Amino acid sequence: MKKNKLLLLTLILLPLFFTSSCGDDPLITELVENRVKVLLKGTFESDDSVPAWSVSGPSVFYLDISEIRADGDKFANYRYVDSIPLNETNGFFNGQGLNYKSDDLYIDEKYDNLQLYIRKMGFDNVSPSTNTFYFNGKDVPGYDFNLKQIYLESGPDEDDTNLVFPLLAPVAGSINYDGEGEWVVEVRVVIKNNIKQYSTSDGITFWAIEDNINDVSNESSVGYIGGNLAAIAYAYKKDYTGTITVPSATDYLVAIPAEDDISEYVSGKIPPYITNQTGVLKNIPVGVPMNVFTTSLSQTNILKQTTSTHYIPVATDVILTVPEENASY
Amino acid sequence: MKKTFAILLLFLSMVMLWEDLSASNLRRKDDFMKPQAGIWFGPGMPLFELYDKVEPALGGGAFFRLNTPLTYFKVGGEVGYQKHRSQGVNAISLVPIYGNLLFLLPIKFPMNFQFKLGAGGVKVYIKPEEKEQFDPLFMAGLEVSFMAGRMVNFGLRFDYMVIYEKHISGAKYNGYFFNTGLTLYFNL
Repeated sequence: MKKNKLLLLTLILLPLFFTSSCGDDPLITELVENRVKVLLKGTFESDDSVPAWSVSGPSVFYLDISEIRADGDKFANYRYVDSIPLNETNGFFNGQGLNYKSDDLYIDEKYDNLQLYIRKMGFDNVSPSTNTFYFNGKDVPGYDFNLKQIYLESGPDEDDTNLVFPLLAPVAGSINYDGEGEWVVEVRVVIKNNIKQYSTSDGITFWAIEDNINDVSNESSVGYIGGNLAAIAYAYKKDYTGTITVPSATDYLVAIPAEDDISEYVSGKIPPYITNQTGVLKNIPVGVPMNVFTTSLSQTNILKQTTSTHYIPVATDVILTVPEENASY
Repeated sequence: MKKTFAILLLFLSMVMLWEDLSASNLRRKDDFMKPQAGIWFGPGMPLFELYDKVEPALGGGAFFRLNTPLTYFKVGGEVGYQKHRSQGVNAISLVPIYGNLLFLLPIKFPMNFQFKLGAGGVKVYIKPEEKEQFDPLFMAGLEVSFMAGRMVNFGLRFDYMVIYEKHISGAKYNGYFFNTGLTLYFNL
């Protein structure tokens, strides 16, 4: 009986022993809540200095993304399906951005690319107008051009390189997630004011995103329309950013991480920070050296450039030291 | 009328069978009152907020039980493991280590019903944060088992586990899990 009592006492004390050595990190809360938010934009500009739609034709953009990965990590394995109106009411086209559901990233991992697995993209206003495609559980009038975006930079490729499943969005300055605070990952695919009409050999005329490297006007004999989309991503810690102001800037003001060379930003690769006319670049991360440029070219021309000579340097190695700081040049 | 008679006959034979089993139950209960050790495995399910983040998964563990001076009470110790993944990057691994008090329902029935209450610690590891720590754990459960021979028990167990984290500053949630398992244990 004595032995039993001793055992009983040990068993009662055992939980107390474990309880006393417990950690003080709220792990369940960390797992349930997200620190990383993904913003999806269909604009050329990185902020809300976005001009209105100037293309007349389609009125709805159909978008179906199955997931977004960061260097293969399935951190946003959630589907997004939406019919987005071609006006300024939706965050996708007005510069505010759409929230894309996500989980968190691995801490201290360096991410250089995001992969957008785009299932469907289409516009309405197709000819013949009876043409429909299956989208979000029903047939909608329009044309799904996503399957035709299989084209290589240099021309038609026999390997059918798929450019949208996934669509590669390089991360300017890479994501150096530290697991602290709230992070925003912005992904931009230039769709607004960057569309054109194509025709298929079957006589269907449809709207699609312009190929930003090759001048493709009709579907090729093997059914391609190009598909070199301009996509870029960048990340910053919320409330740990400042602004760069160039009051004299009248056209596009551009900033890239100083570790990148501006000559990389050609042939459809757009700089992460672009603002139109306001002269203020927002959400510049603190402590990251940035190079600032202006350019007088239009959106369409910037996308088509094969050299970076049109970017005129304004300032180099601009480093913000405290949040909400404004660097003026 | 024939049907009623048949049902009555079935009922009577069941009562007789019951009585028979109850008679042997006394001996069996004596065997059940020995120290026990065993294993279990079965599906574990994250509940509430965690249900949206990770998926149910197989878990398992080992345990031992000792008698106490009180006839229908036993004390036990358990260790287990379960890892819940998701379609994305989220995952949580648990290694619960706890002690519990078991109460055997004092009824004459071929099956043994035991209620469990326990406390201890749980090693929690989460992804993608890649953090781990020890948290307090509380559990309550029910176990239904029957004896196959004098040594072997088969059973079903239902455990409700609470990973208590709300005492930590900044914590908004506790972790809740419901484990169901098949168990095999021996009267030693």
